[in-house]
Amino acid sequence: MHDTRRTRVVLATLLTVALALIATDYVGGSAPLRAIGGAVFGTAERAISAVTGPIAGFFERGAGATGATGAGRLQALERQLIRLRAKLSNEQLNRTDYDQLVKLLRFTGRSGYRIVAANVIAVGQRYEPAVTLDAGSRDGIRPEETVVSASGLVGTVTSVSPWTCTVMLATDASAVVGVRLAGSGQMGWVTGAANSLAGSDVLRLHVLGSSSAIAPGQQLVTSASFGDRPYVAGVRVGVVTRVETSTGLTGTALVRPFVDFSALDVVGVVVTPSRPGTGPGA
Amino acid sequence: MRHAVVCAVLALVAVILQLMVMDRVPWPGGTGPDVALVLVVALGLTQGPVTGMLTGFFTGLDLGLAPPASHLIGESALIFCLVGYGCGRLAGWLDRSALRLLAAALISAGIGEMLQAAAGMIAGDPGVTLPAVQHVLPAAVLYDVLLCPVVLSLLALASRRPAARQPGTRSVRLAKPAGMPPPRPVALRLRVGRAPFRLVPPRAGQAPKGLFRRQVRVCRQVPRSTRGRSAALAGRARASGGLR
Repeated sequence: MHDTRRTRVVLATLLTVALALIATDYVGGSAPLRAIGGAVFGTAERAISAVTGPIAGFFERGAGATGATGAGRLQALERQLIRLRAKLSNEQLNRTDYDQLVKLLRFTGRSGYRIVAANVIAVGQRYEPAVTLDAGSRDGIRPEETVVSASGLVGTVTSVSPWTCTVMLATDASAVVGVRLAGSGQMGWVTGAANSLAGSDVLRLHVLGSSSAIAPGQQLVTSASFGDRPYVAGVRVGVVTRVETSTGLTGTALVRPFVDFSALDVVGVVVTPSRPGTGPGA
Repeated sequence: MRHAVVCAVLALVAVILQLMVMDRVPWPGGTGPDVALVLVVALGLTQGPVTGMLTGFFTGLDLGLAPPASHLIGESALIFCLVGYGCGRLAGWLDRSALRLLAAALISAGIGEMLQAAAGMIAGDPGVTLPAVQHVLPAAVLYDVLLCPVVLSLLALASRRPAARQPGTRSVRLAKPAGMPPPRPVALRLRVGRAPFRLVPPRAGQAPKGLFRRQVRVCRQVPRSTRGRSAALAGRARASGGLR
């Protein structure tokens, strides 16, 4: 079978354009293109999720409406919810969102962070552990801000468009999170493990020195970084499950994260961490 | 032009569906079907190389631009464009057989997934390692192949009505004498009632046997497509003769 002339012309044109796009992106000239794409697709994704969210929420609420709660506790929670709603400016929270947000709020009160709550609206493809949130620069979010959920560290913001932002998850192989081992206070860093696609998301902990100082069951929290970027200090990351025999200068161990990365829904972006003394001169 | 717009819209729908619905479902096996790839494969196999290429290019472009994406922008566009073109070339081999269609879908989905993984490795993405690819690839191809008949039947449903409303576009294509005629959406017709029996042309020198006897007998009456083309050719010859 032979191609017609039209087929060949179309093929050549499309391949040339694709190669030109790749070359542009490779040398780093694609920032405006990404910005436009983020604005257009981000807005579309957010609009679609704004339409489909209440529909999904209606069905979920209908299923779980019979769960009765104590009246006093309900009042206290409602007071908290009003504060949250002022920030969230949406009425589409379903019941599971509500519970998660209450947990988030307690977390906020304890650590003194200011948090913008957001919903996950899109998820990256096969080899890309990244999510899109329905909060962007108009909500005060900037790149390199920490994203947390009720149970612990989620990741960091990599790019921001007016209505959405993209979050690189901690399970990404290129993510490096500085951590402290609770108890011993040993410093180390956590990266996404290569087999993190195996369903149970696994992180790999590296510490300087031998791995004999690590024990299974030890918990990790993020260590302080300059200007609280890209990760604020003191966020729970995960628990050590298995210590690997060390061969080189660093000891390694596998870490099970506290966050279930396959079921992310409501998360919080740490927008303006209190950072006294980290001004331009400090 | 209108053709390209339809392809772009289909690609956009597939990408939005992929990122907002499919990738959010916690599929067993660690990964889910790639709606975008399946759409490109299905359109290429049934509508020919040009549609496959255009849909592939737009789908890949959208996948590179839509927010959570972090790979190079033209990467998916290049791969999906090639996959769409390859599927369009395979369309001629299908020969109206549903089995061959499935085999072609399997091969195309496998090649598409492998190309994507290879591109990730070449680009130096630290998340694309050999163990990860080995773990993801079988499940991914399986889901893609399972999704393929669904997309094919949806396309068949969608393409039946416009085809009935505008017969002009098709007759123009069939009247083109240069090169091969574009592959007709034959595979789709396999699923739709008795229509294919009238379309299957008789094979010269082959004795009808078994299940296909009835098919061939019907086909010996003038096949619809041949009649259309010969009529157009005759018309053209008459017209040119008249001018001289």
